[in-house]
Amino acid sequence: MRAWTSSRYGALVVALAIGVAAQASATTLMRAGLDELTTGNSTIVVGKVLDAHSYWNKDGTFILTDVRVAVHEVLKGQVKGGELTLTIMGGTVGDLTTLIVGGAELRPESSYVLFLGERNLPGVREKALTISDHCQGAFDLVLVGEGLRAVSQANRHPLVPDRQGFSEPPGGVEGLALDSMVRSIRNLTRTSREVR
Amino acid sequence: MNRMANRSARLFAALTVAAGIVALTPSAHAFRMIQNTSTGRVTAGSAVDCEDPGGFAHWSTSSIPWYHNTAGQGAGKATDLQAAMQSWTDVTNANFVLTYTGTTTAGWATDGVNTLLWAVDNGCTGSCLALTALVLQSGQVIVESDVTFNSLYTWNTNGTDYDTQAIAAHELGHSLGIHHTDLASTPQPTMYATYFGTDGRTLEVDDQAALQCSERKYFSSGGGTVPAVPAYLHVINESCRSLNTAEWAASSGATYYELYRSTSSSFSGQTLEYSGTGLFDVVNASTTTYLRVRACNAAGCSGYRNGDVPARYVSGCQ
Repeated sequence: MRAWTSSRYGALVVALAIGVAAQASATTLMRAGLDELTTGNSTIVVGKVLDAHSYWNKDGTFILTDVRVAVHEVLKGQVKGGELTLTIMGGTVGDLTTLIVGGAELRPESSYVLFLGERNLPGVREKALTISDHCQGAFDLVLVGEGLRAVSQANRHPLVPDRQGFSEPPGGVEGLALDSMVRSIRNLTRTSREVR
Repeated sequence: MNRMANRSARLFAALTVAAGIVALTPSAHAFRMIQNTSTGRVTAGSAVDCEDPGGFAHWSTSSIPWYHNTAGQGAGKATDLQAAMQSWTDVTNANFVLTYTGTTTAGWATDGVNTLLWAVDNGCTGSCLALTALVLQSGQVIVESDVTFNSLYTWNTNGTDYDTQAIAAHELGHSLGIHHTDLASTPQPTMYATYFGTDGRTLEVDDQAALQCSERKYFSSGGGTVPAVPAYLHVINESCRSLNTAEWAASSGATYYELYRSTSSSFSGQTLEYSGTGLFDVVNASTTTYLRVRACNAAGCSGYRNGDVPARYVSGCQ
């Protein structure tokens, strides 16, 4: 039985979906295709956000947020113990919020396909696992009919056209069928390994 | 086919997904503003229209000084940055003054200095050309903004890609609380959601209307009064599953409410459970969860009202 046959819980799900629809962002990003997202990141997972914790970095110069993710499926890279913690810029500490315009938006209890790489972040001594492609590196999982689709958070974003002239994120506003996306990522990962 | 169905079924069971509404419905409005009413989680800001009851990110001062870090490709860009600032200063019926205050060694940091800089390690690498950060205080008041340009790309002042002035004008628009416009007709507004070369240097009517909206809402009409703390927050532990109902009192002058949750009674690491105009919410709690609510309007948010009892998980159905 579906968990959200309850009308009240159904209302929550609809509210969540509206939240997704309202999400949009800014900044200036070059459009990255699925191939670039796959080859440009070391870890790709399907998972659910468990919680998020914001804090000042060690230098006290920037608010960062650690996001704990329960990993359902690893599409690239290695994840120990079925869980990972990624760090992204921005968040809220006390009454102060740092908002990264164009950043990925991750909500506890929501599920995503995440493209993660190790990068330098402000005030962090070692490279941290992060969503370096910002909103392009996070796909919301959305239930459409009986199937799951992955919808890029970069929709309605100012993507500079790529070399082929495409400016729409992979899958556009309708997103990619999750199964198809997973197959493509696995194939791209295999191809990348063979080429190397 | 069956394997596909199985994957969906497994994921459906294991993950929480958004259902039903997929389309990112474009608004009939043109310019949009950046709204951030959340806290305790990462958010990129929603796009809302000028009259949204939740308000939007805005400055509390009309005089905004900017500093220029000339390291890396920042050298030789002063004229273009000044021109980008001037385009916003020149907007009629808006009194914002963006001032090129001089050079700095300040960087991508929350240090009270609005800085434009070029770097490669500020979280803007790979596909990222430029990144804007806003620092907000309660009530969505912008107290600082920084813009970092990715030094791995070539930044020009002669009109070839990537045009410093055009992208600076766009990013400065974000720093003023302006989101991307829905208007796509020619001439495209600077806040159009795609880079289109040097045409972005010139503000269009739609860009100007966005800034005038901020002026009208937060300056011309005065900031208004922060609403009072809601008189109560009743939490009802439902007798079945993990559902709890939270109901709070209306507060005079409030245009929206924020309900927060935390597993700590001190509310450390709190997350936003609800933000909107309603007076109740259904809270799913798998463990003891503390709730508190506050009332907000364009002038800011009230103090918190804690729930009379925590939300909790009730085993089975009675």
